Amino acid sequence: MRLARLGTLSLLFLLLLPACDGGGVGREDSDAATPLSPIDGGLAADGAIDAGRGLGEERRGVPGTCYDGVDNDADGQTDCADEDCADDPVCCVANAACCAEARTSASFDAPAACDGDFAACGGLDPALVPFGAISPSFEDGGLVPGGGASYGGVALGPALDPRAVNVVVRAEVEIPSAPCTACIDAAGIGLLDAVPVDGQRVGIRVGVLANAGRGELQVLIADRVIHAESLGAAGVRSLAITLTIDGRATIEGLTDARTLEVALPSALVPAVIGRTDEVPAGAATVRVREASAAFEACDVPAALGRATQPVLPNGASGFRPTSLGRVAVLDTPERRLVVFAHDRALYVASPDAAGRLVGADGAPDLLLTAPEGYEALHDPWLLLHGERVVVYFAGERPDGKLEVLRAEGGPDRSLVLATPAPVVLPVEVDSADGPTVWVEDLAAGRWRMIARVGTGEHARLAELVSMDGGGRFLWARGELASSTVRAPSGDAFALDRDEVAEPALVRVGDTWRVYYAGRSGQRWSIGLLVSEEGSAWRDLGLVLAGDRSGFDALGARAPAPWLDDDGAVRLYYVGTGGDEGAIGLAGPRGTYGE
Amino acid sequence: MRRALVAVALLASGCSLLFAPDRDEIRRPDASLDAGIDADVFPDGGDGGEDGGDAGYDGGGCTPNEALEVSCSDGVDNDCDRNVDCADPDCAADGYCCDLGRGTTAWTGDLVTFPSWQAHGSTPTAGAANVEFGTGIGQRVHPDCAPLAFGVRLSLSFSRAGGPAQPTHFASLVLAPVRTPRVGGDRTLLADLTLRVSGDGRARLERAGALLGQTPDGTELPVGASDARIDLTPSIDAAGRPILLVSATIGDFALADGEMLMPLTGLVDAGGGCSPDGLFVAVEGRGDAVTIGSALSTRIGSCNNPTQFLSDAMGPLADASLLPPDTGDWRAGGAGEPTLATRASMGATSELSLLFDASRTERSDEIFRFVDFAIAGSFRSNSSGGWLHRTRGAGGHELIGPSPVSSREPAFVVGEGLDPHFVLFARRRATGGDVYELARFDLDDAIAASPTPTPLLVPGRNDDVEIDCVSLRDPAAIALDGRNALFVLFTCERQGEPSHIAGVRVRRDAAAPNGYRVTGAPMTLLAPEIGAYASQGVWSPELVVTSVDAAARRVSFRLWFLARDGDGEVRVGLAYGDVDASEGSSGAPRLGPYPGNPILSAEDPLLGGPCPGGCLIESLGVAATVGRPSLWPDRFGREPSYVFLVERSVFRAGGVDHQLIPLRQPRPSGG
Repeated sequence: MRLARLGTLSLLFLLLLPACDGGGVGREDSDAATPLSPIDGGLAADGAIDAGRGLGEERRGVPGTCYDGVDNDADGQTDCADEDCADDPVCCVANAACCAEARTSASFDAPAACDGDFAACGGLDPALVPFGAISPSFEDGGLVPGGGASYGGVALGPALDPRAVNVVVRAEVEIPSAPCTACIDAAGIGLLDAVPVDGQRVGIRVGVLANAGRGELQVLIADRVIHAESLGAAGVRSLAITLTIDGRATIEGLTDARTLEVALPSALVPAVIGRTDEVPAGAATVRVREASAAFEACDVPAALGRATQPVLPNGASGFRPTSLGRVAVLDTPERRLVVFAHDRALYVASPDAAGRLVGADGAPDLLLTAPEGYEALHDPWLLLHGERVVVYFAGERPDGKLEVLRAEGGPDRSLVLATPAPVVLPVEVDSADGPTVWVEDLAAGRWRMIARVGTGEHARLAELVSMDGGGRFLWARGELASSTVRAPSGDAFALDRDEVAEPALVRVGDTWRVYYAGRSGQRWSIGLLVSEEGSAWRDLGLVLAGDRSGFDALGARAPAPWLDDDGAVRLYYVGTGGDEGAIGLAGPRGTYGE
Repeated sequence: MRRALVAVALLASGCSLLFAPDRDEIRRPDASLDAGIDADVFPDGGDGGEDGGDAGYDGGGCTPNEALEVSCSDGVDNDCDRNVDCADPDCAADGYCCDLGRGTTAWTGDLVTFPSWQAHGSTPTAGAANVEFGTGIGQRVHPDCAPLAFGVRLSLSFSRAGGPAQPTHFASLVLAPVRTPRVGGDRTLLADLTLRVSGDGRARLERAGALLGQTPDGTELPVGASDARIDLTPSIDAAGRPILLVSATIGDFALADGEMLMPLTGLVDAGGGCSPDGLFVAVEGRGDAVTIGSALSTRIGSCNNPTQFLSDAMGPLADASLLPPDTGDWRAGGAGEPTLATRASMGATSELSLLFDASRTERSDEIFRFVDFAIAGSFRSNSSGGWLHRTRGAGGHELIGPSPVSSREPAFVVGEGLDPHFVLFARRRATGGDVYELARFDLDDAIAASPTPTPLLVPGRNDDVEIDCVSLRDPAAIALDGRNALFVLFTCERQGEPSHIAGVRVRRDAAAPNGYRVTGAPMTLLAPEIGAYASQGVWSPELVVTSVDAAARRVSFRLWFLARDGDGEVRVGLAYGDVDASEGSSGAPRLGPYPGNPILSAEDPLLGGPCPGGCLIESLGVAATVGRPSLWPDRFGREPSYVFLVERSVFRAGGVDHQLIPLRQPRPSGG
């Protein structure tokens, strides 16, 4: 499935590629009003014919060559795997090698800690959480895990989202010189599904145990020993587990380090684990002298959690949205504006302290009704132009066709809107909706838009440019075919077999990101495209789908992303159970109490 | 989610693993079971009968265009094995071959009581078998989700009133992922499939709003009733991914013939309130020009459904005296790894045998220390009146092991001509540690006799054959020629890898040190690649022979196994297979995982439901009963059944409980 889609994409990108000598930004110098020649006899033609020369360069700065599914420079390394693309910011999205500096989650150093029961010991890292029917204790410069009928130990800080962070757990484990082979005596480290409560079976996603009772060093995956080797002589063993966002767990401390594939849930707890039972008084046991857990935060757009309750409708009013269209979000110095289509008009609300979307009197406020000549309004998009809010949206004509319109607010970001005016699009556009607009070069009056043009399964997301300040747009690349950003894939297993809609752009670091809604059958999901310069897009696939239960059981659509103060992307979206829609909220796991 | 695994399963079928449950074999009436069944009862009515008319072979000119037949409805023998479409065992898992036309079973929700269906919108009037629509759009929706994952045939008729054409009137049969219509808009049901008849006599079939087929221009359905039929059949696409195909007819018109409807993964599943996976069935319409005029019939594909279990709490396996007394704490650490065998006389199950293993110390502690296991068992017959216990000596204790070595995971050999029972098991090698080899012993009817174990297979070198496993565990075996030839299955453990199930042929040879000689290379039968549900290992094969084709020398079987996923959850899987029993054959069995795997989870209500502290399926034993098993109470288990004993460990504060839970599953008629 993945390959098939990449194949389609590579074709698409070849069509999209500009002249390679001009680099990605060459087009900025050209007159956008003049149809751009997409290919000057360059990549597509040459590459297809002269395979022996490869397809040209594969490097950062040549738009799309790092994510077109093709080994352009024929060096055996394709796309982001090519070292020429190592510093491409688009390749750094969802890439285990492009994560932030490691931060320690929790640690302890036993020689510095006190002796005796763990709970009685002061001065420890407060992020440490002991567990087990028999609680862990410090004895003779090491932690003895305790346990009971199941594991005991210490959680090294809170649960982490291994889809979004690389995790490193380390421990120094001391093997006694005369281990009790008739006892249960094992200690090590692991990543647990949850901090177990008393008597609960401990789910060890990945772990390594120094097991004196069996004289083995064991690797556990999914609670089962899949590798065991001799524990070896007495002394201190350094054990480490590194789990990266691609699901690769590397175990160090064995005779040979091992890398294994691990299924990634949305939360894992790093921990010291073990079990100590039936050990005669005074006998030496395996001890953990020091341990730590650290993580590196990575940029993984699909690692999302979501609020279980919608933010609209909500308890603040009896307002129930019907025929919800796209949602738009804009942070202004005064407040966060959330505009959405409901009942043929546009409404505005803002989150209250509990995150619920409310208007002045609880219910959202009417922002704009359909002007004369239009039956209904859909798909709002907001941007700030100087001190004014500009609203783009789609107006439905009596014949059902959609047009893009814009309305400008008053000074000081007032939401008193001037009379809407249609936006001029290329003449062959018979219907357009879902505009997402940004100002690329304010001084030059150069604005850009990605909108959906056409209808139903023939509709596609296309890129347009304006040189007059956002009232008149032309194909960015001269014609629809080469300006297409995304079209329905036709693949029943892809998120957008039948339809694409509702693109929404957000700037993250050095990248542009377009979240969009895709439909396969009756299921809507949200996908993501990422670009460095805003014209060649890397497909990152699914980021949010129906939850199979709750208000968004059947589908998620209408993404409204924004970059929060913590640097993470959050989304308003429309969730649907198939009968009605509601606005939900998604963000990094744990953000919304899920 | 579960269906997502099917694709992987199909893709993983390598050249030695045909995806080929031979349903013709399984479907055959009174298929033989377990030991001691006369194979001659069954004429070769299987695939052979389909061959004669295949003219394509007359000139020797068949050109294969598929390595395995995956195009199962094109009338072509794509792989040139002389079996066309559903007659080819390769197609047995194909939806088309799930037999929508023959022997379908009614959906238990298939009661045409439209009045009890939920009404919405402009409430349609519903007579006992007739729905008329009002002036606005209205629906009647069946309250329960219809299971579609195994294929379904929906039959109904539309009635068109006479008089002028009313193009805005319509009546539809709708399959929807939801049971209530949209709020706002046109208030229709969000439909994955719609068969709509309009008041102008046109019919349309739509997939999620997109046209799949319609009656030809210039034609219209006659006034009066037109019978319509929709067949939904599970299948796989060219990339091996599980999909649902749709075929539909109305009157004399075909609207679709095997069109792709949706991925099977798109069905509503347990998380959405549907189990097994499916969609909601509804009728929808507006106006009086078209009515749903007669009964709606909903027939589920006759691929027998191995995911449906029944409790057997009234059966003999639930008897408190099932296990021998724990004299001296020899099974204080828990009993597990059951194996079951039945024997029939006068056409009814008359004997039931159980073996299991047990330990003195807690068996779940094995991860922390070496645990020694012993084997014991029980026996019950028509005449015994209750369970007799197979222990060493009358006082009770283990039958074999743990002294001198740990002995575990017994398995009755299944197949023809085995009397008394022939048992394989795993025992610790003299090298120590947790390295096990396979050994065997005979179990005769003298309950208290101590059997004499003999080695059978070891890790590493066996005669001239290398078995590349560190430890051999959990055996199972099919007798191919009485005890003269066996196909032995076992769990192969290797360092750093999830376990897999392997198999090897052995033949009796007095000159061989163990009495048996390995006669072919070991083969991998089931590996973690069969699906995400098995990504962390498959093990514990359990066999039942479903039929023996004496003429073709093929033995068909069902193989249950355990599979562990990345979350550590252990579930039961099923595979169908058959193996060549000809003397001298060295071929691999044909074996294919069941597309609906996994079929049983530890928190299944029949196993006791959710476990707050967590629980695991540790093993299971299976046997087949025939006729009217007299060992079961009158009202229970009269039909031929598979009987299961599932070992489940339940974690709680302070310890682990080891349960042996009896389940039953009616065997499909003739399977």
